[in-house]
Amino acid sequence: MKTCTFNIKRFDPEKASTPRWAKFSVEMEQTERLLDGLIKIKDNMDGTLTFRRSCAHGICGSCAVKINGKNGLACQTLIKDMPDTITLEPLEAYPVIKDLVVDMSPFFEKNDKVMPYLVNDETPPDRERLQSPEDQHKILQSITCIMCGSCTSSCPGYWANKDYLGPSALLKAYRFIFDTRDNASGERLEKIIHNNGLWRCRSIYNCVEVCPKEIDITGHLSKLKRLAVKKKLLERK
Amino acid sequence: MKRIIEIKRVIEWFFQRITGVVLLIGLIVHFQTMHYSGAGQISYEAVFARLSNPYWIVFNIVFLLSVTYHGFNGLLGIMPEYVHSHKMQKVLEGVLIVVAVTVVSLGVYILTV
Ligand code: HEM
Ligand code: HEM
Ligand code: FES
Repeated sequence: MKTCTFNIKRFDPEKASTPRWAKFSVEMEQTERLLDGLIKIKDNMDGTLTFRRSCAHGICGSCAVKINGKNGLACQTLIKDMPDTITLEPLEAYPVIKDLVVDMSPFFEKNDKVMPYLVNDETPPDRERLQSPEDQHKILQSITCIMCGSCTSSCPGYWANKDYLGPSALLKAYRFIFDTRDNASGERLEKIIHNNGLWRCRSIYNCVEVCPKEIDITGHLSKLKRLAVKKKLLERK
Repeated sequence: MKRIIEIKRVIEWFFQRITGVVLLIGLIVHFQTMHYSGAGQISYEAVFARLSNPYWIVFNIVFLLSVTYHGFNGLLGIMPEYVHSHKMQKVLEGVLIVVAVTVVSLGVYILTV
């Protein structure tokens, strides 16, 4: 057991116009997760504390918050890896609704702009559209994205320009552009090479640093940039 | 029009990389000659000798074009992250392009005339 101090940035638009800091001392087991601490606070100390969580197993992406200055999943962060004082803030750059809950609609709007679905009008084979292991490997990492929003929220390019698609949406574009079963790669590429798209990525690597699924997002975006040069410049008829 | 802008962006990124590589090589050569080969290398005679040598002139022109393109294209790229007014962006874009063209013209003039 150890006593952890949870230092939480709270905001209730109905009560105050500015955020405030609240401190909670919580008894935690080393094997517990940050999310367990938040649940203890909400259940036993202050029922008004608001945060998102759903799966509690690092797969739904709803519990992403800024943990000691770095975005991550509350349900995937173990107490044993944390200092005694834990500072929690809502994700940067999205509008705060209440406490640790942010409005993710700007994030999903960007996602919708890259045609985040498989396009293939050919009649599907009897069971499924097969892929070679090599082809599957190209998109293996990008498929593991759980869309928690940590990356886009950590991106200085996004802080500077909220119209920028952001790493998450661009990674989603990668996921389908490099999917050999997809037939709309060209069209999708067009949707990301405008002024507020791919070229706003300055290879800052914040997204890679925070990604809870350890996806090399910047590397994927670099592949998209090279593909754009290849398709739009070198192979142009 | 949309297509032209798209291709312009692709070219800008591509050339930023290409000129980055040219700069990496060019700056090594430049610093080696100017800085680490003795003060005699930047005497009037030494500079005059280099500027009479067509290989050096070509090197200097390529180097000049690369550094100006790279520096100003880089500035044009990051400028909209600091300047949000669309009008101001257009103004600064014009200013930067005029300055870049002036710098290149002056440099090429000095190197060739
Ligand atoms: C060894 C020499 C250099 C190399 C290899 C190099 C390489 C690069 C590369 C690869 C980029 C693109 C970054 C990206 O889009 O991810 C870049 C951007 C940039 N470079 Fe250079 N560069 C060099 C020297 C210079 C010099 C001498 C200047 C100033 C005159 C300069 C100014 C810039 C600027 C302003 C940017 C834009 C920054 C951004 O897009 O975030 N660089 N450089
Ligand atoms: C140790 C510092 C430096 C010294 C002593 C130096 C010296 C010189 C000299 C003497 C020349 C005349 C050409 C020649 O003699 O062949 C020259 C030209 C040039 N230098 Fe440098 N330089 C230095 C740093 C730089 C840096 C950091 C850059 C770019 C990032 C640069 C870019 C250029 C360019 C583009 C030219 C050709 C310009 C023209 O004449 O139009 N130099 N430099
Ligand atoms: S609660 Fe689902 S990822 Fe954390």
